[in-house]
Amino acid sequence: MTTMSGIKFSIIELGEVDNDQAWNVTGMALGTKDNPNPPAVWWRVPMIAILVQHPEAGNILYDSGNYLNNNIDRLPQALQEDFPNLMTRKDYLDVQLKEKLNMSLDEIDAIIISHAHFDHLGGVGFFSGKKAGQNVYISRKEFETALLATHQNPSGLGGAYFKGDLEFPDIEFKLVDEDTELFPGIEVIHLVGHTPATLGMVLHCGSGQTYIFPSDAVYTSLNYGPPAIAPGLVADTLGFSNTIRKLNKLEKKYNAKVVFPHDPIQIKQMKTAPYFYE
Amino acid sequence: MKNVKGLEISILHTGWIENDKAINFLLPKTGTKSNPTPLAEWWRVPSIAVLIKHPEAGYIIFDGGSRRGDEVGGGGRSRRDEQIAPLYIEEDQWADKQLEKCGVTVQDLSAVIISHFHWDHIGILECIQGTKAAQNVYVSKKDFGYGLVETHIKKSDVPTTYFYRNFEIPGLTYHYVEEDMEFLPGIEFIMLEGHTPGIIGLVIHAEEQTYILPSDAIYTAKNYGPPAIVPGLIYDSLGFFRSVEKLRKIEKEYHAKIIFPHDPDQLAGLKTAPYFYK
Repeated sequence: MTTMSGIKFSIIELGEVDNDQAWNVTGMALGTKDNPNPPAVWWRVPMIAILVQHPEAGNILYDSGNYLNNNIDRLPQALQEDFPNLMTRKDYLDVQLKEKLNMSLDEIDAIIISHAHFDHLGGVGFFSGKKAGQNVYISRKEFETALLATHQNPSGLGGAYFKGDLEFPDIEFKLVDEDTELFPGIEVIHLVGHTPATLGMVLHCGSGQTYIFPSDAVYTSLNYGPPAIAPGLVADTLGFSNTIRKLNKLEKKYNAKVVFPHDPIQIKQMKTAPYFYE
Repeated sequence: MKNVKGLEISILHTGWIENDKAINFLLPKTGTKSNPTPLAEWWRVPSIAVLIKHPEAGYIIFDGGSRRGDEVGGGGRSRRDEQIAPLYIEEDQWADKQLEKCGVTVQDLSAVIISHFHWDHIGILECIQGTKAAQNVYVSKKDFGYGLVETHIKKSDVPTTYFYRNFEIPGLTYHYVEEDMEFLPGIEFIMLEGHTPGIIGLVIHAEEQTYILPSDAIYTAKNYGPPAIVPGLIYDSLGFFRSVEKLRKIEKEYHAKIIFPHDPDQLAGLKTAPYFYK
């Protein structure tokens, strides 16, 4: 695998969401004989995107957060009950890019979407008609899953897939069929479980350090284990187990660090934008 | 397949297991914005085995309850295990005692079928040494193999499921079932995925009615739906849904009645041993 000198990345925080911990990690508040009725755990998790700076391919985003008004009225109320979105206007991708990295939307060259849920794909809406909007990479299988889910009935909502996110004007998707090196030093890998095909990113940075971004295939370090703990929100539990094995192998092979997408503990230990990991 | 004269079944009630409802149903009550920390629900589910009276093969038992010592305070299980799923059982509820209720002894059994090798389904096996049935124990190759591997990596138990010692009961000869097949006239094995890699379910074309025994592939009528509700404790969530579809087809074809293995509501409406359903 190519180690590309000059590859670096920055973690962009895109607001927070509250929800029952059991969606992310099952069995943490399970009743027992002595304590049969423990309360559910309500916790707050971050949302992030990754900006990769690549010496040849330019500025590449991995995930894009929510689209405007997802925190207000764009998504159905039921979602706000289960997953109240705590974002304010400044937590959206366009403002964060500007404020933290002094970067405009026009300076982004391509976007890799891990999966089509509204809190990862929505930010693509900022790139209608722009350069990066013509280079949106997504797994073919994931894309098909999201389209099938959002075209089944007039609601346009299927789980956490939102039809509007898939149909922004002047966007062109590029479909990824298998694990591949998209750019020198940037691999994408298919991870089953959270959705049928979440694209993880393996980044071989300039320093020689490899970073793995599993996105929601593995929400937090608690899920990763060992022992691995399945999330409550999971399409395929057996797929989740296979994903953990796949990531373990890569982590070992490259002596890599794994950066989790919704981990309230890990995010506190990481440096976020404007800091760049090299 | 035709219904068989003289083919009857009796439901053996082999005690009660208590556990968090979240084990039987995925995320039964999650926190929301307006009610962030609902209390877990603790409930009691029955454990059952089924005695089959076959006109040619005599008596066969399907599943076998728990082993002596696995009840609360019995010392057979770890403290943690007992906390998660305590077993409460009356002296006359052990599977061999339930047989006696029907006027049958373990000597009268011609075969034992174990749907899967979880601790609460194999109890009868320690009662049949030296009998004819000891030479005729039918298990799912996939499930038995999986349980063997997990418990023999370092001779240990998998909490709440497979216990090492249960695979080492002396004097037994196992027959490995790999696929759907006719076991005896009027009795079919059907392989069901989800709860474990492969459960043996039974379709019994009794004298007047076809019965389906899915064992833990489907815990309760509520899991069966529609809509089907995946359990919280699940090996392969997609496999669970495939099993539901498979059962629906068989149910429809034979106007069959499904007897669920851990359904307190259904059991309340059923007659148990010594009553025989035709």
